[in-house]
Amino acid sequence: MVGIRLENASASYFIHASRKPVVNGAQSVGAEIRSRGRFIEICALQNISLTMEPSDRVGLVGINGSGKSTLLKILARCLSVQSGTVQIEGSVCPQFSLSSGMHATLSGRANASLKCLYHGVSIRNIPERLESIKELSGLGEYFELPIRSYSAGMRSRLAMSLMSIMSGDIIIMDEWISAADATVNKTANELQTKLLSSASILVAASHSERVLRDWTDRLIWLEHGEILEDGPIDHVLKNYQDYVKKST
Amino acid sequence: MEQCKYLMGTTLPLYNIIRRWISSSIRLLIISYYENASFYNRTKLGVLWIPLSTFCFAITLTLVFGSKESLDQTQFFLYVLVGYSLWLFILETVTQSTTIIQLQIDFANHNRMNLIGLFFRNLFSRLFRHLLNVGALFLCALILSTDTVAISFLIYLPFLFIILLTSLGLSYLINFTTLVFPDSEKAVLIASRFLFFLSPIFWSADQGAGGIRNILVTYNPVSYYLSIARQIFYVEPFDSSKWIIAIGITLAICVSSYFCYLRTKDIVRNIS
Repeated sequence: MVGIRLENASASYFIHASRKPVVNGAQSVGAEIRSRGRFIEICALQNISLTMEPSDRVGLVGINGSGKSTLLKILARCLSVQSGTVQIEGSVCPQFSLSSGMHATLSGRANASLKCLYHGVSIRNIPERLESIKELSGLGEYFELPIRSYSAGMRSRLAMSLMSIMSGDIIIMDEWISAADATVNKTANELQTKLLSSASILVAASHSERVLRDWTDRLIWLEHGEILEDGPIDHVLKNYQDYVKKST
Repeated sequence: MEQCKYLMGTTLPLYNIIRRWISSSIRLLIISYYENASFYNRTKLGVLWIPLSTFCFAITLTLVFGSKESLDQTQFFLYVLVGYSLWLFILETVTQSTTIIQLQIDFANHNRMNLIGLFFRNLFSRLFRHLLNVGALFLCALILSTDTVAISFLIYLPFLFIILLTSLGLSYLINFTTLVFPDSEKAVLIASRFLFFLSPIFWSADQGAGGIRNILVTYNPVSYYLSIARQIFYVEPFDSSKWIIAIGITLAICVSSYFCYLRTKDIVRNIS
């Protein structure tokens, strides 16, 4: 059974204190800062309770430092909570940055091989998958060259074609969908659709209304590490946009 | 456990667990090959530069520090090569473990590895380079003393298991220490330079220099691992007490590391 349940979950980052920290004022962006001996504690999320069930398509909105990325990292198991409980059932496929871990000196083929190895593609199936990635990327002979010789668009093509090896019950995405929009081709868009529709649960943070409306139907609005609203996208997005207009 | 589905074992029957661990080990070694090769991408020899540089350095140490009074030059070369090959593995364990969590945790999570998987990935990267050095070492041993290489090879396998366990445990302990006490990172790096000279890599206690060398050999844990590696290649006489002490040190490191991991695994990812 795939599902996500958070109950009163609070998470902090701990940074080594090089000087006495200044307490974060109410007017500033970002989470509360506390002094904890040799560390500065950034209370990124506080008392978050939420449930996500199969077929949920959830978007996260909030101004910078509101806790969107922290929540995604907790769901991706990159961060731990200091209090409360987190229950995640199902395989998680985090997509924070597809180019993460690529080696500039290695060819597109070698980088794709590494991704296949890391993502559990059977060793004997790797040559076949590599040909498929090469074809999807449309890189041609560039696939055999070191990726340091690629343009940004070419890197994006390679990164997007690597989506064909990704899979997971829960897809976690942070911003990059909109960032890649300018360079993706039709095939990459299809891959993206296939990946997202194959997942049981999608959680995506984005500042793009188009991305949120295309991919999600439920929206969680975070502010200073707390959930301000959680509900249907139309309702929450309107309230959030009104709030942003007033703030600016 | 789902995140490390491919790189770690799961709760399966014993046969499947062993099969999955072997499969994961092969996968990690192939990953290590690609990642190590990326550093030598512009060269013709590629990763062969790893054993070649070890070999050249061992020859230099032999020529500079070799003493005709104790071992002959050939034996001393083997003595240095065994010691230096193992020292490189120890040095990499120490110096490359100071920033694993700080710099690689996002990469790990993006590539379906949990915290243990990340440390295993780094361990196999070190192992890959060590195996290249050991390959060159066996080649030299084959040329210099043909009759004992097969036995050495058999004894090297349990020894490899011991040093892998030690390296894994030590890696987490060092990384946790540098995470909580950032100054210790520099201290560890400086200490490792001193340790090179304070360990019997290119000198032995038999070469004189009074009691200082004996004290260093007795109280420096590295010397026990160096000694048993040399016993395997018949450069030093067999001494069971050295094996017992080395295994004892390994157990102490592994137990400390295990409890440290249990108590800290939930907090280390949130420290930056």
